[in-house]
Amino acid sequence: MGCFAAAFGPSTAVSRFIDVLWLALYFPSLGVDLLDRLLPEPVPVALVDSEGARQRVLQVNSLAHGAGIRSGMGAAAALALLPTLRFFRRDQAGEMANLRRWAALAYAYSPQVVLLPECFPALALELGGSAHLFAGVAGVARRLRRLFQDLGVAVRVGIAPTPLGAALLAQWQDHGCCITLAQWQHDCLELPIALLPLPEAARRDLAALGLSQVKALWVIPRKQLSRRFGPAIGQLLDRIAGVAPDPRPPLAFAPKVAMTVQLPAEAESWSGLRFALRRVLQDLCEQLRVRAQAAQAWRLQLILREGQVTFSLSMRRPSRDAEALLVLWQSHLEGKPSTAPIRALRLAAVDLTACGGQQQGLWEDAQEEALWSFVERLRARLGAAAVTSIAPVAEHRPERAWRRVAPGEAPAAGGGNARRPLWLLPAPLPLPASLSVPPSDQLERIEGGWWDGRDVARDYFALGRPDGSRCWVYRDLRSGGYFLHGYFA
Amino acid sequence: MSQEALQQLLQEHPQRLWRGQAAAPQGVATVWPVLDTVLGEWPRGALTEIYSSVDGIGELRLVLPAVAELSRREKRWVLWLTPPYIPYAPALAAAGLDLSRMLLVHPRKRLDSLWVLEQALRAGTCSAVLAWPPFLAPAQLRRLQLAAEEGQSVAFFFHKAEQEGGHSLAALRLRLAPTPSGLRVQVRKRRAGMPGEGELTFPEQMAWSFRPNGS
Repeated sequence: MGCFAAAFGPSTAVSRFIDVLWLALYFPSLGVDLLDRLLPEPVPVALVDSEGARQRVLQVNSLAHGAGIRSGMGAAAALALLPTLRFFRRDQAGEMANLRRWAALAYAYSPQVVLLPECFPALALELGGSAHLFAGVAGVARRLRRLFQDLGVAVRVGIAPTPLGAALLAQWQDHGCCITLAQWQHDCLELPIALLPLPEAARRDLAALGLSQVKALWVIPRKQLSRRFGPAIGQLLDRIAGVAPDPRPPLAFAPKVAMTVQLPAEAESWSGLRFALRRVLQDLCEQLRVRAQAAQAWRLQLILREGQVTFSLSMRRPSRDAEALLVLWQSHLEGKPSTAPIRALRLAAVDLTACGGQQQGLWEDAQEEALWSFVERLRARLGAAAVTSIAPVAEHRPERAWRRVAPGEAPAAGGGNARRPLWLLPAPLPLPASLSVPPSDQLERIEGGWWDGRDVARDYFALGRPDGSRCWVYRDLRSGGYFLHGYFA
Repeated sequence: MSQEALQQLLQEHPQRLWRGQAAAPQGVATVWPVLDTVLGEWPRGALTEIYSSVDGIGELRLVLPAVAELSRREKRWVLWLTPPYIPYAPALAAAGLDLSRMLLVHPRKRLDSLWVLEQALRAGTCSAVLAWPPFLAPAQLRRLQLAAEEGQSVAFFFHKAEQEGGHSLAALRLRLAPTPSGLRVQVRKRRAGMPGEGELTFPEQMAWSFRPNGS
C-alpha cells in the first residue's frame, strides 16, 4: 500500500490519464461539531443515542475527550467522570440537512456529487474531469480541507477510483489516496472488514471467523460466501473494487439559500444569538459564493418558546460577506426590544442576484463600499426613515422648495438660492402683529400655488429679533398676519 | 544633548508626547480670515464645542464654508445629527455644500444618538459631523473624543450656553454671541493655543426690531 500519502503530492500529470476518480469526505464527529460550532463558549459535550434508560455516548468533543469520555461509554459513567458534561441527543435529520448543504458546496469542484448513505456521514465528488483545474486532486483536497476547517467541522479525505472505496479509505486512513484502478484493486484488499457497511450480525459472524481484512473475504469463493452471508456482500465487494458499476443518483441542488438551526441552549439575548448567527451566515455566504450569487435582502425568523418573530434586512447592494452581514444584523437586532428565549433560528437569503468573481478590486471601490456600509449600518439600527438626505426642488413656495431623498440621491450642485435662510422651520410660527415692515425694496414677494389649491401670497423679509436671532419673516398678504419661517443661522 | 534626547523621544512616541502648536494634526481652514489668528484651523480628529444662547444667530455660517469645502473635496459623508430645524436645501446648495454627500440622521432614542455619534466619529467615513447632541455626561464625552481621534473627522457639537461646564476634553470650545452686523466668536478653550476673540461680519441687510447688546 505504498501509495498512501506518498502519492498525495501535486499530480496534474497523472490526473489527465485517469478515467474516474472519486474524492470522499467523511465527517467523523459531525454531530458534536455541529453543536460545538453553535455554542458560544466551549463546554464538554457528548452526543447520545436516543434510547431512554441505557444511553450510550456516541461522540464526544475535544473537551470531553480530554476528560476521558469515550464513545461507547454509558451516559451515567460519563457523567460520573465529568459532572459538567452536557448531553445532547443525536439529530440525524439535522446532520443530513447539513451534509446536503455542504455537498452543494462541493459542486464548486466537480460536476458530480453524491451522498453515501451507507457510510453516513460521507459524500463523494468525482474529480476525473475537473481536478486539473485546481492543481490536481491534491489541490482540491487542500481547498476542501480549508473550507471545512473554516466552517469548524472535522473532515477526513480519501481518494480512490470508486466512491464507496474513497469513503472507506477516508474512514480508515485520513489522506488515503489511490489513483489508478489496477493499484486500487490491489490496495482495497487491505481495508478492515469492520469498516464495511454490513448488517451488524454479518459483521459479528465474520469477526467470529477470525476474518479481519477484505483480502480474506476476496479469496472465499463467491458461491460459498453468498450461501453463508447472503448475496449482498459479494456485490458490495465488487462495487468497492470497481468490478461492478456503482451508479448513484446525483445530488439535487437546493433551490433556496436558507438554513434552520436549533440552538443548543435557549438564547436570551443578542449575545447568545450572535454566535449561532455567525455560523449560519458563514454557511449561507459560502453557498452563495458557490452559486455565484449574492443576496440583497435577508429574512430571519426567530422561533421562541412561544410563537416566533420575523425580521428582514435589505441592503443597497447585494452582498455575501458574512462578517459585514453580521455587523448589520447586530445593529438591526440590538435596537429591538428583547423577546422571549429563542429556541431556533431560520435565516434565508432572499432577492438573489447573479454576482460572479471579485467585485471590488480598486481601493476607491473599497472606500466607496465603506461609505455605503456605514449608511447601511445606520439604517439597519435606526430604520430607513431616520437616515435621509435633502435636495432642493424648483418651486416658488419655500416649504416646497426642498424634499427628503435617500442618501446620495441629491444632485451634487445646483438648485441653490443664496437669499434663503439656512434653517427652515417645520411650520411657520405666528408672530405678534406689531412688526415694522422694512421698505419695499427689502421685501421679496412670493406668490403661487394656485394650481394645487395651496396657493400663497407672502412678503418675505429679514428681521433681527431682540435676542439677536436673524429671522426670515413673512407677512401673509391675505390675513395680514406675520410669521417666522426660518433663521439666517 | 537635551535637544537630541528630546528629538528622539518625539520621534519614538509621536502619540504620547504633547507637542506645541506646530505639530498639531492638520486641521481644516475656517475660510473666515478673521478667525485665522484667533483659532487657526478647525481641528480634525477632535471635538469642537460651540455654545450659544439663541439659535439662528449665524452658528451655521460660522462652520459652513469649511464644511462645504470638505464636502466637495473629500469623498466622505457630512453627517448632521438631530439639527433643531430643517437644514434648508436651497440655501445649503447656494453655500456650496455638495448635498449628495449629506446625511441627515434623526434617531428616535437618546441612546441611539450617542451610538450614531460614536459610529460616525470612529468609522472615518464622515469628513464632518455636525451634531446637536443630547446632554453628554463627561464619560460619554470622553468616549466620543476617543472615537474622534480614530476617524479624523471635523466634529462640531452645538450646545445651549446654559450647558457649558468648566472642564472639557474638546480641542476647541467656542462661545457665540450675536452682534448687530454679525457674530462674536469667543475662544474659551483651545488646545495648544490661547483664548481669544474675533467678530464675523455678515453681508445681509437686516431690519432690527431691537438692537442686541445695546449698541
